[in-house]
Amino acid sequence: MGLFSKNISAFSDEQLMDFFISKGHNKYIEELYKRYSPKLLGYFFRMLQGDSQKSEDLLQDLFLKVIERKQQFDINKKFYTWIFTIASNMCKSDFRKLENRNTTYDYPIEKIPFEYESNLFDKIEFKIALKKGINELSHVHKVVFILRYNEGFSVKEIAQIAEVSEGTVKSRLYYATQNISQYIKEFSPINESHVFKIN
Amino acid sequence: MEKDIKSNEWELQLLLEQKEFNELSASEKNKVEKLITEEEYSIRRQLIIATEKESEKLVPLPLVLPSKKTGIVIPLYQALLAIAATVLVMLFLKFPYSNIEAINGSEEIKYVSITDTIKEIEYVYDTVYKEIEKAKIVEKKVYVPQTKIKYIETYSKTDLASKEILNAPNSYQKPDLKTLINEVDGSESLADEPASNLFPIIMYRD
Repeated sequence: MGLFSKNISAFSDEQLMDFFISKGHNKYIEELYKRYSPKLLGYFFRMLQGDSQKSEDLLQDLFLKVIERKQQFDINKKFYTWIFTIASNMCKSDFRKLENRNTTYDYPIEKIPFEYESNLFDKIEFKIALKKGINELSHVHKVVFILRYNEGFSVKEIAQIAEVSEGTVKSRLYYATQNISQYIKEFSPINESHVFKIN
Repeated sequence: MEKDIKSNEWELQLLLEQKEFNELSASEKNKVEKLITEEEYSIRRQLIIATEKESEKLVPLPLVLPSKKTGIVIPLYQALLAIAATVLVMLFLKFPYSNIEAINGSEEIKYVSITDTIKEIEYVYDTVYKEIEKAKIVEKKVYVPQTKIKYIETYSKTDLASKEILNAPNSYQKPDLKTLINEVDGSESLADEPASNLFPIIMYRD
């Protein structure tokens, strides 16, 4: 069994998908889930403004979609860009639903420890401001920003996932960074009262 | 509409991802300062680094897979045989009990009373009359059989002497008065006589 699991982990994502399409065994999709679920859960969590329950639900739905649409996968392309494309579209659908309902998310307020140092307090305040800045972005800007700086995708990969040109990705990244900076102006390292080092 | 990004803007974005402001070369600083201030650069650099380091450690739940359909295909002849066998078994099970069913066939009507409302009547007595019945005096008449009467009558008819009736056997032993009276003890008084204590008895009896 151990030997078998070692073998399955040696396969690439695309090979696992190929086996899953041809043989239909769940072990291949379970291996892919093991590889990508933490990353995708984090992506949903950030895209849905910290709604962990909804993120879990979307993650399960995403893999059910992968099982249903396995025939649509092109084994010559990267699996992770394909799965992130589906995830990104799911976030887009969810965002549109919220827009139609005219509802907004509440920003999660992080608990501040009772005993804190002024530096720690500044860090917490900075994180809250940063989250607010990201959440205030438009959906398209937010997608590229999170994919680039949270998930570490290249511009080319983001372009594939978001189904836009590379130029658009670059532009969205630039303006997303510019917009967020407005929310954390008061935490400028030049301003002495708020100087702190990010570890 | 998406704004087109200029080449120097993208260069700035790449520098923000890679270097602190004080790490920039002179030419890079010149390029940067044409677009933004040093302070603005530091802020943007800070937010990119903070976002990259921001990582909520979330543990996903296990994958719940839909139940798989079993791909077993049964040939038609096997299915037909199975149906035929089932019918035979059903007939076999039904047949031996058919007579019993005929005997027990008559419908038994059972009446089930359904009471939806129960009224409980309780009598409360506020006055109690106590009736005491007086004891009845029963007069008992005892009839003597006629044979005794006849016997008495017989006696009266025969006109028996009263002497004989009085001399009927008695358990009492009469004292010998003659002897007692004639005994001399020297006294003149009757009270001193030894038999004087018998006088009352004699008197009562006579």
